[in-house]
Amino acid sequence: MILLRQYLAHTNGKTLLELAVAVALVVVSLTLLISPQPHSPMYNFNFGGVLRGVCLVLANPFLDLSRSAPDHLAGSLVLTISISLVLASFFVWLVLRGRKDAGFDSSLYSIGLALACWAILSSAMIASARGGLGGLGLEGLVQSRYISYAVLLPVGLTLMSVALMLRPPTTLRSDFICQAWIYISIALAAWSLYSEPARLRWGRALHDVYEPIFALLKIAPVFPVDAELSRVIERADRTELIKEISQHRLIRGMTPPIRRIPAGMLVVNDKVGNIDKVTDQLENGMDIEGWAALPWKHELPDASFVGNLNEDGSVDLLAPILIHKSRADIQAMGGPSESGWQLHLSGVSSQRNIVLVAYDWTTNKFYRKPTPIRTAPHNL
Amino acid sequence: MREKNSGRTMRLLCLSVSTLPVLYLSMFIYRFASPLPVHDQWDNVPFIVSMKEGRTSLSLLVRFHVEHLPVIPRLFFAVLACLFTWDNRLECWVTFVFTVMIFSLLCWVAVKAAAKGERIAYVALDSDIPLSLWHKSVADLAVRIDAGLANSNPGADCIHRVPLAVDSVGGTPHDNHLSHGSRRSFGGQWASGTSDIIRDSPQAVPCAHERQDVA
Repeated sequence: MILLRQYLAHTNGKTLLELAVAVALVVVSLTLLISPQPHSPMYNFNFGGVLRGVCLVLANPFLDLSRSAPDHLAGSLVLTISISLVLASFFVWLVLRGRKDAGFDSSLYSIGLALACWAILSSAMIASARGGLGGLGLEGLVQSRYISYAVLLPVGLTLMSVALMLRPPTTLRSDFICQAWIYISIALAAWSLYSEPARLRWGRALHDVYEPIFALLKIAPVFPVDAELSRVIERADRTELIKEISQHRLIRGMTPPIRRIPAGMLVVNDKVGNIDKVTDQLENGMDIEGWAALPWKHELPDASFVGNLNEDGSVDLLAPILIHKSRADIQAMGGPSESGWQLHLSGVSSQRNIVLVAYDWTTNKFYRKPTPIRTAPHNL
Repeated sequence: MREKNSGRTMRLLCLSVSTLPVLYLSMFIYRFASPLPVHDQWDNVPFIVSMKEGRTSLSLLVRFHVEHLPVIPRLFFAVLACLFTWDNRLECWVTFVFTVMIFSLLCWVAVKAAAKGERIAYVALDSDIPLSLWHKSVADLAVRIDAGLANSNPGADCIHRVPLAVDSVGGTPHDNHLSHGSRRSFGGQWASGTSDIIRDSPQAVPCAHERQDVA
């Protein structure tokens, strides 16, 4: 639109070329957007829901509603409408003023307008896709990453305001309104900071959630903990995906998809840790404790296991070590913190030569202790 | 002369203030971004693998994801994964760099358009106010607020400790309603200690008012 207006005003060849490229991009985008998508929820259009969704999305950069409970979302309706009205009013006023004061000739104004239009368009699209239809509703809407584009509206309005203020023939009233917007935007931005402490807590809590799931993902090619992994990988073919990922070594620290480690992949090293204590629980299996570290890296191994040493030098992995604890004695010797571990092994029905196995992703090698611990036959 | 110095001080002050949101955002990503790919990020795996195997699939690249066609992000993520490893933190940092670049560009345009020193400073400062808002958006990406499910994203106060549900070595699912502190059996062959290794993922654990069956 901006290019079209400029072309009509000045009719120069350069603008015509830019206009042609812009039109081609719009046509391609619309073609892809409108292409048949029978499963798309966009077909269930609810105008009231869309309007409400647009208000929510536009106000979200200031209100930070992404983490709100449903009750709070419903309760903030008046506030979101008020903020959206303020934004929309300034947008309309700035467009009219720009048209009157030849603001479109300024690159700053044009960029501001483009950003503002983009924000409105994307807010309407995401509100149509999520907010204005049955299914996901407002909660689904505020949790979408695509509502982030709404922040471009205040950015665009600010640029438009500044562009108008910088034009020489500004009136006092026009200057006043532009400044008013700038102060309002600063106030709204400052207001949004009130939720920062909660956001920090939220970030920390989610990080604590994802960290152990990542530890499970690293050992998933051999020991898939499907119920946990399904929470972050909804696809039904997750087992195959994980195997493919591990075969190509795409995730740092992930073990290869082999249960029996051939002798060629094993390095005997006495310093990678130890099995300190085995407590027999008879029919309930056994509790095992120890520590594991890669001393030459001063780090924990990417994964640690308890395995059964076979006569040919290969090792069958029996169980991954997932519970770590700090070991002051190992730390005192320069080892990493949390190098201690514990494991409960149950239901093994034959005699085993159990051995600690540590995996280092960088070298793609497994390290094992030289001497296995021979477990008693009655409970193994 | 005095006016000129005053303008320079003002500009420096504005630039310093402008860097604060950038630093804060980088701190947020550094502290909280996780390498774990989640939710729809896994839909990129077939394309990433096809690139890694040197048989880049155009059909996988231009495949629809729900209503949209994320060709460029998909290409970006795949190239990053092939060049380095598939690490969500890297994607967060790239997003961060792009955000800063875009806003630097806007500041540059604003500065270029401005004629007088005082206004340059004014514009530079004000252009960065929205950057502080951007922080929220990018920070959301860092901890992956997403993703299509109404109950997928409770606040920090709503994250509960729930028992770990584990699958057996052989793939048999087990009860995920064991009480805290109990032992879990991994397929009867092995088991690992306490049940609070894992607090539930946000997708699985809605707020207490949403689900009653959470322990």
